[in-house]
Amino acid sequence: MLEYHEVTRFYGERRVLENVSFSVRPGCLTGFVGANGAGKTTTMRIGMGLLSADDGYVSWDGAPITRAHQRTFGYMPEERGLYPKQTIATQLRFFGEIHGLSGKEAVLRADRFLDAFGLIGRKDELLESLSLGNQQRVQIIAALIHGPTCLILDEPFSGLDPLAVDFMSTVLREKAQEGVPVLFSSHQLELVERLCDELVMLVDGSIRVNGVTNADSDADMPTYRLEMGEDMSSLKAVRGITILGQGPGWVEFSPAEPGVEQEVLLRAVSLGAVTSFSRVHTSLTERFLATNK
Amino acid sequence: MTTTQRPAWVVVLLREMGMKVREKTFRIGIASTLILVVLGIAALSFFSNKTENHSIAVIDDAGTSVVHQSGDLLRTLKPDSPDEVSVVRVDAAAVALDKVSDGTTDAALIPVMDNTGAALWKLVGNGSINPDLEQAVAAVVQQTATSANAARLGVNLEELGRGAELQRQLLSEKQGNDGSLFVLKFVFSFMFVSALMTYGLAIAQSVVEEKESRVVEILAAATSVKYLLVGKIGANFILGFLQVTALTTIALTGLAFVNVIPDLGRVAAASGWFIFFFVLGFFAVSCIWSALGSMATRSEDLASSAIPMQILLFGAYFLSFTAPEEILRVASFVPVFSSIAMPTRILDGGVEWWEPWAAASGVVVVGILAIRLSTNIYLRTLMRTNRRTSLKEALRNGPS
Repeated sequence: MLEYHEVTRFYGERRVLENVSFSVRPGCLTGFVGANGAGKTTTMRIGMGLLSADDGYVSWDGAPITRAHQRTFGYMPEERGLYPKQTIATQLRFFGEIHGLSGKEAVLRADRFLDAFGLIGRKDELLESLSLGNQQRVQIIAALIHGPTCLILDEPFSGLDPLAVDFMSTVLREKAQEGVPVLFSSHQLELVERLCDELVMLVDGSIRVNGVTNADSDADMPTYRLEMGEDMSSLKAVRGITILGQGPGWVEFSPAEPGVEQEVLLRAVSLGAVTSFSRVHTSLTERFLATNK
Repeated sequence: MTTTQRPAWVVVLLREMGMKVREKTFRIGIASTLILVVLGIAALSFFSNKTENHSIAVIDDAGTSVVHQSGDLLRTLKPDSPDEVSVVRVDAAAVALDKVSDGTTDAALIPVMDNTGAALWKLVGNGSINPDLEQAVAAVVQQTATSANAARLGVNLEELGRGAELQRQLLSEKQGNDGSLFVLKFVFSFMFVSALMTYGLAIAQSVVEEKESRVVEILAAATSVKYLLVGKIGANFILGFLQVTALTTIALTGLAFVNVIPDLGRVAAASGWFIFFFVLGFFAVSCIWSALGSMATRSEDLASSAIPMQILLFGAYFLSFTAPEEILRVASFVPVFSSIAMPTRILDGGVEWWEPWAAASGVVVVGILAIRLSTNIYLRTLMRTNRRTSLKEALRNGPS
């Protein structure tokens, strides 16, 4: 497990990370979101050992992380981190060898990945001749070729079409299922919500959200919505609720304690036909916007 | 294909070399340098080894004898490339003059009388007479006349000539600043400066390209950035060394083949020093190049930050064959400049044995300082991919 412990980092006088703590658990896809300049890339670079923390530390499986651990990780930097004027096969072999594989093993693994990713027929072409989506496939192979113990991917979905997004999602899901902790940043919040098991949200260098992606952000004060044709003004009389919004045929309210919403429902049913009664979920995008206001 | 793991710096070195030799610009650069070297040798051969054949019309045996002796004298004066002198025997002075007029012969040697009735020789040319030929004929005529007059007057010729001999001694082995030496300096300096420039710039470009494409982040995550630096410098050093060694060998073989340089041994020794100084200078210069590359974030930035280095190297180049002797002597002890200036002085001759070693020591000391400083800058600035780093910032901030 990869863990950040109260990591703080300055660029000159400017503090870009402040007491950042979170975990990337094995078998989990952890989404890392935040506005531009929130500190995501800096956090990931610290995890990879490319930058040092001014305070706090990162641990791997409970012990302070070492360069030796970090060199077993797979990493995808923001934008394209490959050689545009080199053939696909040659550079994958290079990335394999730089991670400590023998030349033979690197070629073998590269071929296997290229075959699985549908690029084996183009392995002798220059990288720049591939489409963005295919370049991203090569990029992920470069991160996977040495069998990484952890994956840290900065914007892996950036600029991809829906098919390529689907392909990349499948690859990441498979790696997570193999027990590899996967941390990736993205601005595609719906995708993060759909794909990730856990979520970390960074705002101005500080953690604002850290937990299960689908966890209800308003668990301590849930919102319910009730819709019916009858007059609902008498519902206000139910003790322990706060009306959050009201309109013709609908009302949204928050119960002071669990169970009160059932009383409201019973009262509504006694008034007439209830057409809809549901808990209101806040989407990640709404939460993101609310948190970053 | 290897079945064993290779050290990261070897992996980087092999990739750099492989990419470089596949580059079209690299191959064109090598080919054009090779062409320049071959053309230089050909020019040297053309200007230095040009043997002229002078034909002289004469009308009697005495004239024939003077021409033959002139030929012998020319052979003594220019043993490496003697001019040939041939006799064209004709019946009368008028015919000899016709031969000169219509260009059949270069000159005519005709016996004439002066107003005192003494026999003289007249050398007749059409428009011009080759100065070497004229000098040789004049010397032979004077010698012949002096001998004849001495015999007629009963004077001992040896006694007459006592004290008239000019002895020749050179205080140093410095060669004359003739055309062939200039061409040699031009070609050799170009070979080495272009190698320092080409491979140095290649290192800087390689560094900035990896920063630009963010590959450096993957590499730095996978291995130590020191190995990246070692691999890059090593690859370009090997290519540069192979290039200068191969070109020097070709140049020396060519010079030996055309046989225009009387003291080829000295040129070979100077070439050895050129290579020696190239090796020393390369490491210092290459580290500076890598630091320049790491301070830039885009290839465009590199173009401006490389200018001082280019001026420095081209300055060393032009100094090598244009600077006055004293300035060249000073430059030959100034590191970086010395890498070109000192071997150039060795080529000139007249360098004390300790001077190259003193200059080399200077390069080593400055090189070590440059390597330490540049490596620090490289390590500090390599991960700054968002903007160009100024030298002040690079020196001020600690490793990231």
